[in-house]
Amino acid sequence: MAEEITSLPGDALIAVLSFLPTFCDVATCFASCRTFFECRDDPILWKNLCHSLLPFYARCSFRRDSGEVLQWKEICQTFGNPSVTKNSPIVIWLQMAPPQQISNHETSMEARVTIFNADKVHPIKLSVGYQFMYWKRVDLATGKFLFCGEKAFHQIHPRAFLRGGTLAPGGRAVREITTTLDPGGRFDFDPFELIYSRHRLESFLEAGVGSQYYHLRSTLPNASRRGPFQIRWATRWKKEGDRREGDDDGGIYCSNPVPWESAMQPSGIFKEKAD
Amino acid sequence: MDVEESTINLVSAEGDSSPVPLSVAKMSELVRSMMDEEAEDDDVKEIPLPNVKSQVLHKVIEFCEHHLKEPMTEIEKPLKSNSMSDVVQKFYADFVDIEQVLLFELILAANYMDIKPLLDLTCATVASMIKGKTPEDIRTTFNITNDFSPEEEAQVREENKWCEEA
Repeated sequence: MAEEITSLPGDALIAVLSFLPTFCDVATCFASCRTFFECRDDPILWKNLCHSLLPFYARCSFRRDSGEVLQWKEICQTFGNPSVTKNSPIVIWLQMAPPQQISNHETSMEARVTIFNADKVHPIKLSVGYQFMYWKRVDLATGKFLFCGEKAFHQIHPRAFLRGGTLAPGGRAVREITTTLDPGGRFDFDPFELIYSRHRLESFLEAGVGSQYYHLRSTLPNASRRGPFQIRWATRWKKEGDRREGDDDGGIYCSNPVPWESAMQPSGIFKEKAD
Repeated sequence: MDVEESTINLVSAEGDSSPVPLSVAKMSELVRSMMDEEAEDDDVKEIPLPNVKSQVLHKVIEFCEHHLKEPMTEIEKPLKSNSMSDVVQKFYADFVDIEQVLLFELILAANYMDIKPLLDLTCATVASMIKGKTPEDIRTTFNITNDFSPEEEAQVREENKWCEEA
């Protein structure tokens, strides 16, 4: 007999938690009593929770560069303690793919975003899938990554990201994206898909404050229909006032945009531009 | 003329027997597997459910019967609203508008009988009662005793600062 929520078995509690829309809600639940609290360090429950919270995604785990999976406590510490983040660069690894691709790793795509702060001493790395993003606000100034389940990546207003930014006043930030397709060679890759994904990645990276540099380097080792090629591209963001009004939905806010179509040619158009 | 569907008796913890059509009973994976296991024996007439009280079993049957007529909309994760009427059809929203004790019993029964839509509905309902609340609100809502020591609570609060500031 379950007269109280705390007398429900662990898998039922996880089933409840899996409907909560944010990691904050889950963390709050953990903070309400010992029964919930004890869920969080159970690796099986945590694994289930991860999978339940992000059911659209093939995998969701939080790893250090070494590959070590973070536990909930570490994630809380990471999000809540800038010094932890700075001293221990964290890769937040969200490998995401539509459900139909879950069992077909070859068709998934990974994108790694490396964001340096102004002095380039403490890199903060995000590994994100290109299909969806699942966080609401990333505040790199404080090292907080706040998750929510409200919108898919491409639906989030780009200015919601990185506001508060990583830039020291007058500083220079380099944002580097390395997009790597599966090297297995079976990826039926359409370059224009990269355009689309890159378009969204750009939304993600858009900061819109000050002069910043934005590097995109894509390595496409198995772009079978086009042959291997590399892309390097950079441009300089204009100051915020130069944004194009009404073009917030993944728009390009750079002073010297490269047309996607021509930029995608494997002839080196995506070369790095000078200051 | 419709052919009458055969029935099976589901027997509650109290020993009460409820005849239900096979299609209804087989919404429970537990019942389905028990029937499959005994398929080689004589026709199965009864399925004992010693973990499910009569009152709860009646609710489970009510759910399954209705689900066959009007399947419940799949509840999206994460939950979009605190109101179940925004998430599922009216029948189902009304179905879980019940006392907490019965709601938890239904979760247990759905878990035990392995009825996924019922488990989803009941768990989502509990989640809707948690969504957006503070730890104190959650304790009040579910009458949970705060069993953390002051030191532990302070530690948890510190760890969750990132969340509170969101």
